[in-house]
Amino acid sequence: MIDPNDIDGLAAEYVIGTADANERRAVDAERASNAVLDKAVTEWDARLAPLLDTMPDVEPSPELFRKIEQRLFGAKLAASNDNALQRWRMFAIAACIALAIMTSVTLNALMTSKQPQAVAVLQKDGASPAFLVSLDEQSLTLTVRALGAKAPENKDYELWIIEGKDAPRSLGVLPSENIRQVKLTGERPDIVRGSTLAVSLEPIGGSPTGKATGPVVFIGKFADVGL
Amino acid sequence: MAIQHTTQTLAALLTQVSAHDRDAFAALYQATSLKLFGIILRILKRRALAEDVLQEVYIKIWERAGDFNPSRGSPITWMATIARHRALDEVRRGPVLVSSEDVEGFDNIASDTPDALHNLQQNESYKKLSTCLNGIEDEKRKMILLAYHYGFSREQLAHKFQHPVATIKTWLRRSLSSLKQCLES
Repeated sequence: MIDPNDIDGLAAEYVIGTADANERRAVDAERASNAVLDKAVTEWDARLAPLLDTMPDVEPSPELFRKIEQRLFGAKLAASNDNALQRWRMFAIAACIALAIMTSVTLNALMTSKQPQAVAVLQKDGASPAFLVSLDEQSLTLTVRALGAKAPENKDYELWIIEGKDAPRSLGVLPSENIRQVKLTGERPDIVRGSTLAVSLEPIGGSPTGKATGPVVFIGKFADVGL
Repeated sequence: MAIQHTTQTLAALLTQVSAHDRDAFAALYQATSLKLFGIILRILKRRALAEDVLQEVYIKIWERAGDFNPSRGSPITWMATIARHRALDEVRRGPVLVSSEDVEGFDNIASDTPDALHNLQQNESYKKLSTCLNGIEDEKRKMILLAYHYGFSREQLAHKFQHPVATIKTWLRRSLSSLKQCLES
């Protein structure tokens, strides 16, 4: 039982972290049943929370999220993810080859070309690619191919390019069933290559304001295709 | 505006996570894991241990996303508070460390804390906390910040500032009490 006269001081030390292991256990055990203590801790957390903003970001290991998913959703999920990843790799390679043929670049030329082809897959998650975008750096042309994603009725997909910290720029409304080419002018190829592409859901004909008004449904970045 | 947007986006993701939406959980992790890991690593110092704790924190967030109450603070504060307390549980559970020599970049800490205060001053809404912290005597303010940011125990503070543990505790209590009064005035 925590001394009622000590509650605020203990809550403060609990929050800054100097309360020892026994005191932390006592606070944790009693919070649920002691409203005064719970309120004191919550208030101290809130008082000092602005300090959290001054802490530097640090990147955890890339595989950590997979471990979390594994612990939460079990080994079954991890196995099915592997399959999904495998499927998706096969699919991406197949799609790139298909794209090369359809954009009348001969496969042979692409394979011997010194210029690596940059391809971005726009997707919601790793298992459901929606659009494939290839970049021809010489002519600065984006070729956008729909992979079966269909906008809901009375909506259009609109493509946006985000370069660095600039506001997204519209590259126009996307068709849902065929190929569209977008010629960029006055851009540096390396900046385009480093950009992020996003697709938002907009009213028919595209955003009326010039800014994305609907949710971003697919997103992706360019990667070199090692064909 | 940017902060407002982030708050809304994160709150929406938390709502989806509370309905067990795995895609939303992945997006939430992407958006917040660097911040949470930074907080945890500063307190625990050891990367492997910090990553174990980060896993537990996200498992807790998955299980308790429905507890988030927007009237009690922003989503990132809610998540960061869970992360900080989990890291503190871990650091206090271990052996009581007296020396702080193993703290990476320890020599820089003294110069680091005024920077933290400088950052605070740049945001209007944090100005009050900064003013009130600056109203506390230099050494005692440093104790509070070393504890909050780096997880210093009373014993470590006693070692660093060369005072008995009981004195440190008394000073912390008094400084925190005057900080509270200042913030409420």
